Amino acid sequence: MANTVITKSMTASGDIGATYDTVLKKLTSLGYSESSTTWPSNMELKRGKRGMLARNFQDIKTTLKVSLKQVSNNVNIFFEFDFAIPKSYISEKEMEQEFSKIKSEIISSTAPHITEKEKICDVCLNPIGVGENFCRNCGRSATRQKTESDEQSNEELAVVFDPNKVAFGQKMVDDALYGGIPKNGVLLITSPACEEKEIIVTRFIETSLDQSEIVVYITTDDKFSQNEKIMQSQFLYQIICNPQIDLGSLKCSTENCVQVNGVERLTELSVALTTLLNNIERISGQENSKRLVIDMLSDTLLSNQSVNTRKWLRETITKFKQKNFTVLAMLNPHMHSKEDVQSLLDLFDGQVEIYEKELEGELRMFMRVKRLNNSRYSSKEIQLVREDLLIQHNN
Amino acid sequence: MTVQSTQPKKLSTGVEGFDVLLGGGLPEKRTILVLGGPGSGKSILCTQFLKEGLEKYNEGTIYVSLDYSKKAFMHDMLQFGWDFETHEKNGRFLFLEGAAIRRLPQTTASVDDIYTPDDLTLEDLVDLLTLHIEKIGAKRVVIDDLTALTFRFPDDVQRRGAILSLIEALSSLDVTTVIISEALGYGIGRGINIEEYLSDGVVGMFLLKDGTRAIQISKMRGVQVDNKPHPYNIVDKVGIEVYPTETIFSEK
Repeated sequence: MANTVITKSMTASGDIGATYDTVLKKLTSLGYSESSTTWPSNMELKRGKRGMLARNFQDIKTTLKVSLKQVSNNVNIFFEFDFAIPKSYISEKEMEQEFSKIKSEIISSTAPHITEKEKICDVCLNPIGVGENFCRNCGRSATRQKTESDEQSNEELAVVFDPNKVAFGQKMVDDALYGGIPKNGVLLITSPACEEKEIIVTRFIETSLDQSEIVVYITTDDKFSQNEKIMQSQFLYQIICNPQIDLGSLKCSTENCVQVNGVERLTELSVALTTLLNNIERISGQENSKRLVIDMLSDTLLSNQSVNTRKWLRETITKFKQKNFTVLAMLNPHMHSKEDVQSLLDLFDGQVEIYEKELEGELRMFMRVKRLNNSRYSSKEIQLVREDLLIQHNN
Repeated sequence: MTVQSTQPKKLSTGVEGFDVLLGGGLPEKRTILVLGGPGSGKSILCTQFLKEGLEKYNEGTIYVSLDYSKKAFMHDMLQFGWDFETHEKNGRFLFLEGAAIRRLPQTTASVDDIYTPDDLTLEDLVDLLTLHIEKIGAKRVVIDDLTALTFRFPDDVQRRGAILSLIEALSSLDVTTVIISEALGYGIGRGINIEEYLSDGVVGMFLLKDGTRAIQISKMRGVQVDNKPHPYNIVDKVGIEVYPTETIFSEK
């Protein structure tokens, strides 16, 4: 019988050693018994003995792995609950109550006293040291005085990771989406042309390929031509909507790469996608999770107007969802009228907005989840820093 | 009470996606018109229809050509891997080449008669077909194309009468006939050929502005068909491939 793994995380202020002891004490009081520990970074605990016959939540056979990491004045704590029963038998409410108990006890035990006059980082909410004008955690100088709402924001950092979600593999994006895009869901990223978006999309593709999940990538360019990890993966299928690109110069296998005569010919593209889908179904079956990345939506909208683009997109999404694909599409809203952008939005289950904003006289990139139907998400504004994304990317 | 189906027997065309649009195939013993511009693949589609009859059902088939030479036909179809010369040798396929046909005036048509397209009247064609259909036991006939035959009737009334006579005569021959004709444009507002009103079914094969190929069944008497346009392609070693679940997104 399949186990269910649920991961959660939170951030506590203070020293890793003291936090470790607090976490262990709290979990022991909740009925967990120590199985193995590596002070002060890892612990494994067990609770319950029964599977399907468990009388209550505490009785379910559970292995809990906890890892702690000191980041400046904070400790990031990751919890991995491994239940010996399928997910459908686990009460989400009881799970939330359990984690809330753990979280509240740890925060109250470890939170340092912060006066109203103390400053915090405007980006990562870490306290700024006395006399310091920059954050030791993220290195930025965006500071402001701490308010009550920051306490609430801190609560939001405790993110639920759902195994039924398709992860980007980029922590700050996955955190905001509480684990990623719901499986078989359709997400739109609206973004101006920027490297931050490219890093996020690249990571989404690489994460899938790392897990041996098929990715169908529709593009108008050859931006991955130098990325051997992507191009040489047998799990990547590319539809290149640009007759000018020399397929021979790409390092992809010719069976996995289809070239069509541009985004203007949506019928031809649609036929190519159907043929490809049928081939993929023959190879991998319909059950496995797969990803579709549409990276030519703006070109399509410019060439075909909103009526045809909407019609094509709706048919394509339906076609791929039926075959167990999770869909990610990107659109540059600055290239289109508001009406054209609006004509496509309701085809998506969720929208992540990437935008430019002035902060302390400099333009910086931010990200915010605008909506994610029937799924939890954090609507908090997150600053996207290229270097941070690349570090997370490489990790 | 038993309800008997009034749907005619269907003949598979050999083009899977096209059969889906037709609900199984072309209705048997009817006269169907295939319209299209140059290079649209009309002859290929019709040849696939004959090939299906020859190879799957061992039916005799006839291709009447008025402006397509036998040599070119055999060569072109071999590109798709279709060997009609062997079928011809086996006596199951007959290519009637209008370009090489000459007829002696005031004589009765016979299998060995030769006509030129200018001399060949519609009545002559029916006589000739009647003889050959009986000779090889043909079930499927293709006439390529009607435009060459009707050029000699500049008057619409005469033309209509001649085409009506031809279609009536073909209907009495106990075969399924596909007649190729040129299309006058595409979409709403295109010119309608007289033969479209008179035939049992009309299939259009069109090349759209952006190069997309579209096939549409605009008429099929007594048969439920999908009459929306759908994309198709001419594929190497395959022939015509119709995509019945795909939509046409292009500007008409």
